[in-house]
Amino acid sequence: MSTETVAYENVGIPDGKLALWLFLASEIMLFGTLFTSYIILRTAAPAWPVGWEVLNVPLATLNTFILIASSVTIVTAHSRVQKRDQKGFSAFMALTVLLSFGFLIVKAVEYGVKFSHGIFPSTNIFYSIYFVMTGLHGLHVIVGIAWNLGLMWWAKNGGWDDKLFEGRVEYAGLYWHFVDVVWIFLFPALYLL
Amino acid sequence: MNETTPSETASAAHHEDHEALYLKVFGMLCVLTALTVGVSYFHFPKPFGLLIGLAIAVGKAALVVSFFMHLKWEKALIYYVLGLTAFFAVFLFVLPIADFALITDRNVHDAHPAILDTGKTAHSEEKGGASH
Repeated sequence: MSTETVAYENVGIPDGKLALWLFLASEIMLFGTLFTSYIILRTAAPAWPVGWEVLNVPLATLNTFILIASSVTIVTAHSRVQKRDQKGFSAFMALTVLLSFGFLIVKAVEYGVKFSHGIFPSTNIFYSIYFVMTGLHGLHVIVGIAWNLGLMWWAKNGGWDDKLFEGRVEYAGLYWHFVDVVWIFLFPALYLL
Repeated sequence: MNETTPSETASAAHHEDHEALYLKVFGMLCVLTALTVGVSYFHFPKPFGLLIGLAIAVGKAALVVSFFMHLKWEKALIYYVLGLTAFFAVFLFVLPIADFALITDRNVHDAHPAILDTGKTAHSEEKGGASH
C-alpha cells in the first residue's frame, strides 16, 4: 500500500497546485470583468434600486453562513486525508456537498420568488447584472458539487491509497474556497451596499 | 493489514493539525458576516457605508485565503502568480472605469429602455442629474 502523498513537482510546488492557482487567476479576471461592469452600470444608471429593499437579505445572510460552514468542512476533510482518517474524510466531504445543495436550494427559493413576481434578467439593468453574477456563481457551486462527489466516489474506488489523492482533495478545496470568496464580495455588493 | 506502518505515521506527522485553527477562523468569519449585515441596517452615507462594507469583505476574504487556502504557509511562487494577477486586475478595473468617468457628453435618453426602467422597484435612489 502506497502511503506517499508527494505529487509530481517540477517547480518546487506540486504541478496540480500551480495549475489550480493559475486557473483561479483566470477566474479572478472573469469575475473581475463582471464587478467592473457592475460598478460602471450602477454609476451610469439614472436610478438604481436599493439592494436590501428589493432582495431578500435574511436568505442571502443564511447562504453566506452556509458557504462559510462548507469551507470549514472541506478544509477539515482535507485535514482528515492527511491524518489518514477515511471515515472522517467521507463524513466532512458529505457535509460539504449537503451544505452546497443547501446553498442552491436557498438560491432557488430566491430566484423562484423573483420569477413568480414576473422579475427576470430582462426586467431592468439591476436584475440583469444580479442574475448574471449570482447565476455564474451558482454554476460554480454546481461544478464544485460534481467535483466533490467525484472525489468521494474515487476515495471508495481506489483513490484513497493513490499518492495523488491528498493533492486532489486540496485542489478541490482551493476551488471551493474561491467560490466562497466570490460570494463574500457578491453578498455586500448586491444586497447590502 | 490494519497495522500502522512507520511510513504512515511519518507522513501524518509531516502535517501540522490546523483543525482547531479552522474553527477559530470560522468563528471570526461568522462574527464579520453578522457585523456587515448589522452595519448595513444603519444606512451610513454612501462613501462611508461603502468603505465599511468593502473593508469587512476584504477582511473575510483575507481570512479564507490565508488559512483555508493555506496561503499563509504557501511558497513564494504562488505569491508571484497572485501578484501578477493583482497587477492585471488593477488595469481590468481602473481602465474601463477611468474611461467611463472621462466621458463628458453622456446622453442617457438614447439608452436601451431596459437601462432606464427601474419601474418594478418602487424604492430606488435617485441620482444627481450630471447625466442629463
